[in-house]
Amino acid sequence: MDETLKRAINLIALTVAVASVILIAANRLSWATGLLVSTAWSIINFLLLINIFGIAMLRKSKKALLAVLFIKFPVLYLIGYLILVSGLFPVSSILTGLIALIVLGAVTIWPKQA
Amino acid sequence: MAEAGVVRQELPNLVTFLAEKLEGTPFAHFLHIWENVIFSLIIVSIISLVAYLASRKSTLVPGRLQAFAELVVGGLDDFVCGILGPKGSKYTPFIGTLFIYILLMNLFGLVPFMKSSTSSLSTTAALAICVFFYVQYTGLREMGPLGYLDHLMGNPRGIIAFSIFIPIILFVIHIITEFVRPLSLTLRLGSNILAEDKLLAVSAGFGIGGIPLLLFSMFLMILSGLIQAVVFSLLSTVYFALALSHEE
Repeated sequence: MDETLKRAINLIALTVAVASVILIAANRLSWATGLLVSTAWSIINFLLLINIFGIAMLRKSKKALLAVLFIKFPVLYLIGYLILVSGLFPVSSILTGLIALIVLGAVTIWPKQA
Repeated sequence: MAEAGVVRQELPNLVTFLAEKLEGTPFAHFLHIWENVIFSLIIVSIISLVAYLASRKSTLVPGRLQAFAELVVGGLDDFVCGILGPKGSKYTPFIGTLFIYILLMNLFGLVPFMKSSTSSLSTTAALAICVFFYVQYTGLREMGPLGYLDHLMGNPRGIIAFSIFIPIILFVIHIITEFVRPLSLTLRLGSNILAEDKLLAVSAGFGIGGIPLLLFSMFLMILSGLIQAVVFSLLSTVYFALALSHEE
């Protein structure tokens, strides 16, 4: 994986972890967990997409491609669906976690590209 | 086509305005039913017109439009051939058209009084079904009926070929996988664009105070529209690669 991308993901994970600790300290446990779970989900989803692209472009093993495709859909999407319908986490925390990857990723990568 | 009985939470568009004006007439009903198809046809017309204008007077030293079209087509061909290899060029027209069509449909919702047809599952299902049948046809043509059956059974060789259980299990898994693919393509694209449309409508509902949120939603819509078009095309290309490659 690209070094900038790796650093961006590390930064996102760190930011969300710090935010979750602050939320736990503020007695918002379900919000913190929702944020962590949804960010983890979106990071895994993104990494799997990068993986699919990498395997396809390098024309690696067909079985590896099938395995990654299977993990992405249905496994990961089923987990995402269960997270949404479980009602354990506030919807706003899940949305924040899902958007965090895009926003923090753009903030981290764009200045470097420019 | 518009799904009946679904509560709409989208911004009004040209067709809904016209349907409201003509309320009660059969034409209003027609507009309501064919809303997504109408916007799809507008996109088809735009693509056809640009393609015609770009290729009408093709010269060795290209003009701006021809240079842009060549850049897009060249980029898409590199993308497809990067995954499928040199023989992938014959799939570039299909996958490239899919990409441009989906991208424009996704972004069309940002134009005032227009709508993203891809927010309707019937549109995305139609695209996914096209990919499904073309991939099956490619697999059958490349491997032949028996070869394709062998491929669906996981190419059983040696002792595995003599056990009936494993090839049958693999066959069932493969069949399920083949049918899950169009479903995943349909739901992923349709749900994402529908969610974006709803987000845009909610942001617009806040009025002047919601302008920062609206701008943020539009930024997300552009980004997500592009990502979804890339993902749909990438996965379609990967499905072709799986139908074409013979090595395990």
